[in-house]
Order: sequence, then C-alpha cells, then structure tokens
Amino acid sequence: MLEFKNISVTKNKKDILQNVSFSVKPHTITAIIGKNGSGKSTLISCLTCESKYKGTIFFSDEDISLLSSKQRSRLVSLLPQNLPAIPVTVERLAEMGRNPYTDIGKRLSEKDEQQIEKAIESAGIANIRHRKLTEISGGERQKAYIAMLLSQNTRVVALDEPTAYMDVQVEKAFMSLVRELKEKHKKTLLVVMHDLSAAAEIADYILLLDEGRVREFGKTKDVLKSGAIEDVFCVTRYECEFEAEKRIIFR
Amino acid sequence: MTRKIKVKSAHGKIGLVLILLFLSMLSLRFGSAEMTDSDFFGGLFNRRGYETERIILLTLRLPRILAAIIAGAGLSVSGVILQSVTGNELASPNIIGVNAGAGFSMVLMLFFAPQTVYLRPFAAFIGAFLTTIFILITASKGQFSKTTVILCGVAITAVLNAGISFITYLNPDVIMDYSFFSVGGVAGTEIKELILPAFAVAFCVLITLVLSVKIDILCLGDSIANSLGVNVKLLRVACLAIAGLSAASAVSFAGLLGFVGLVVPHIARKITDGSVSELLKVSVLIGGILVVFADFIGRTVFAPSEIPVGIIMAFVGAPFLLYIVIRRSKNA
Repeated sequence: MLEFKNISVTKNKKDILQNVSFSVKPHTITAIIGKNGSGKSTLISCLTCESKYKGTIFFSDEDISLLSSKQRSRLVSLLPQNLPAIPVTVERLAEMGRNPYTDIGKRLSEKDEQQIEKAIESAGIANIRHRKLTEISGGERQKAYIAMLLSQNTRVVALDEPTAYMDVQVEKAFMSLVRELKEKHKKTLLVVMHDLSAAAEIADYILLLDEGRVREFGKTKDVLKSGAIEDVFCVTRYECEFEAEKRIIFR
Repeated sequence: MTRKIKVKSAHGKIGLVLILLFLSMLSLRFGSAEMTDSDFFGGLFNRRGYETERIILLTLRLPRILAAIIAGAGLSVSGVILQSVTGNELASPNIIGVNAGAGFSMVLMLFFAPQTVYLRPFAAFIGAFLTTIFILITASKGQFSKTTVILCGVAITAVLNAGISFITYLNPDVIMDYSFFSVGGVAGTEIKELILPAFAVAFCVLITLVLSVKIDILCLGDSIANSLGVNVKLLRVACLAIAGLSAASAVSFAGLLGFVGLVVPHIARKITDGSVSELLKVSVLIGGILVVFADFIGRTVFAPSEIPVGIIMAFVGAPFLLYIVIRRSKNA
C-alpha cells in the first residue's frame, strides 16, 4: 500500500500542492489528471524525493523520505515526460536500470544480467537492443525506457505523461504495455495523463487535481459518475460502443 | 552489435595507441635541429660522441612530447566530464573558469612577483582550480542545475577576464609574458614540472572510470538519475571538481590551450558506443595524439621558427567547432 498523507509543495513562494492525501492499492493503475499547472508532475516527483515536500509518503508503513536514495530506488521508479535520446545502446540503458542494486565500480552480477534479459524481452525490443537511442524511433525509445524500468524492477512505477508526444498507433501499443506492467509484472502504477478518455479506459482509480488540491479521488467509475471531470475541464462526457466495447469520450 | 562495437572500439584503442607511439617517435626524431639516423639512434641509446643529440632528444624533445600527451589527456578528460554532466556538447574547461582563473592568477603573479618564474605553474594551477571551486560554491545556491553551473561559469569568467584586462592596463609589461601563457604551448617544459600534473591527470582518469556508470545515468537527466538512486547534486559537484582538477593540471604547464577539451570528445563519440568509460579511454588517447601532432607541426613546418601549439590547435579546433554547429543546425 502506498499512502500520501497531507503532501504540500511550495516553489518560489507559490503553493503547488496543498494537503494532498490519497492511498494507492497494490497492482492497480491510478491515473493522475488535472489541468496544466495543477501539480500532477510535482506530485509524482515527490515519490523520488526530487521535489521537497511537507507531509509523509508511506510505502508499506515505511516513510520513503527516511530511506537512502538507493533504498528508495529499489521501491519506486519514475519515468519523466521527456526521455532523452543519448548515444547509448538500448541494452546499455536497460543495464542502467540495475544501478540501485550495484555498488560503485562493481560489475553486474548474473542475477542482474538475467533481469536485464527479461526486461528487454518483456518490452519487446530484443531486435533493437544493440542500436543507440539516437538511432531509433520515439515509440521504440519509449519501450527502451520501459525496459530500463523493468530492469530496475520496483514495485511502484510512476509515469509522467508517457504518451504526450505519441501518435495514436504508438499510444495504443504503449497503453497495452502499461496494462501489461500491472497484470503480468504486478506493478503498482501512478500515471500522469492528459488524455481523459485514455485515463478512463486504462485506470482502476483516478485522482483529479485542481489547483494543487484533490478535487476527487476514487474508483474510475465513481469519479466519472461524480461529474467533477466535466466541471474542472469544462467538457462533456459521451459514452459510445466501439467494437462491442463501451468507450468514454470527453469533448 | 554492442559486442561488435566493443570489439571495434578495442581495435580502435590499440590503433590509437600505435598512432600515438608513431607520432611520438616522429616528434622525437624530427625538429628544428636536424639529425641523421645515426645521430638519432646514437643520442637515443647513449652512445659515446652523441652527447649533444642525447641532450636534444631527452632534455628538450621528450619532455615536450610527454607534456603534449599529458596536456591533451588532461583537457580531454575535463571535456568529456563537462559535456556529459552539463548535457551541453559545447562545454569545455572554459565554462568552469579554468582558463580565466589560471589567466588571472598568472597575471597577478606577473604583476606582483615577475621574477618568481618557478612559481608560475603553481599559480596557474591554483587559480584554475580555485575558480572551479568558487563557481561550484556559487552554483550551489541554485541547486546545481546544469544551467546554473554554466551561467555562474560565464559570469565569474567575465569578472576574471575584466581583472586580467585591468592589470594589463595598469602594467603593459605584463602583456608579453601573459600572451605567451594565454596562447598555450609545451615548449621548454621540464620533466620535473610534469610529475604532479601527470599524477593528477591519472587520478582524474581513474576516478572518472570508477564513476563512469553513474555519469552515464546522469546524462539521462536529473529526474531519471534521481529515480535510479544517483545522488545527483553530489555526483555533479564531484564530476565538476574532477574536471577542474584535470584541466587545471594541464593548464599549469601548457598554458591556456584551447579547443582540446571541446573537440576531442566529439571525435571520440564517433568511434565509441557512447558510454562515458569508452569515451574517456578513447578521448585520453585522441587528446594526446592531437596535441603531440599539433606541437610537431608547430615546430617543424616553419623550423627553425616555432608556432605555439595553441595556435595550431585553434586552426584545427575552430573549423571543427563550425562543423559541429552547422551539423547540429542541419539535424535540428
């Protein structure tokens, strides 16, 4: 269980987050939505202590701010919005995911190697493992970073607007990979999302932030029913059926 | 293919070592004092009757070649680290105030104690390194972000350059000696001057190799590095201090040799898999090769006159910089 208790963040004398409290159940996807500047990215950056915050984040009753950066990085991983294309190979990137488990100057153990292999296979990028990040497409790069996350093998994974720069086809493939992270790899996911329809489709829980405060949090269907999304984003919700599946669209 | 790249790089490194050895031998063999083959080997193997050649080879040319190798390696190590931790391809030792710090310190020395020639390398080293540390302390007020470090470097460099101009304005006699230092060169270097810098550069190479995996991760950005358990601030400070130490060591005896730290990492990136450890090993070799070659050209093409290695490097480095800028704008 991951629990955020009264999280407040102030930057440049401006309150970015104010008393945000919610808890996340294991092996679920929680979509964090809200308008620009509502504090979504700041909230997940608290998980890795990148943003200084007041309040407490508990992971299995342990205050994560009291853990060393190495201990924390074995529990929580974060993928920011911008994934840089640097001239290292996909395989090398997956190896970097093992950093929390290796000491300075030490080589990777056999267990590390196995985890890296598994991660590359699971992300479906075995065919491009030897290519540099600068030589592959945006979608492939996204998968390469997912391989790094799988290699890091943390129980909690936070993704910051992972589909921001993707076309529809790549976004669809990526979303099924996110689902796989929950179902197959038993990860607990917090995903900052800008696409409300995709959030409604993929998330088990939705956290709706409005000006740094929790406007609504709960099971996806409950949050959808509440009408808070329509209120905050000034949109209308439509329900339709597509290929025998019920879809929710916000316009 | 990674294995292929690594093999290619291993072959490449052996090739680079051979090129460095060949150039060093060439540089030892040829110079403004002409020698026959028998003079050269007689001097090299200490045969009787070849004492003058021996002095030329071992006291004049060899220290100069070693100085070129150490200066090239030191500045290249600094360049690799700086370009990696600032994420800026145009970063070089200048941005952490190495040149301005060494220059200002040298000008102070020339102004207040012009006769203490033997203290000049120490003054240059201390000026360069202290400036780096001062920039780091200033940047710490801004959380050590990449931009803060670069901007602090620019501001402090500007102040020191103004200081240099002011002192040379007060005492124009300083300009002559300072211009020799500011151009950069390895002429007249003695072996004893090189011992400490050689150890310092070797130390920097070793520490950087140990930290190379963490530096690779830092290249992914602060957020990802933080998520992977890297102490971003501590690593950045350590890396910048190492970069400062390495470049300051080179500057202490070679003067303000420009472009090496900027150009060499770019060449190295072409023949490595991009990881910092490979980049570092290859850059050390290429740096040595480049400065030995530039020094060789500088003292043979217009022999018996000499062109300081810094001028040759500027002729090579500036067009390369233009090439990088044009290529980047084409790719953008």
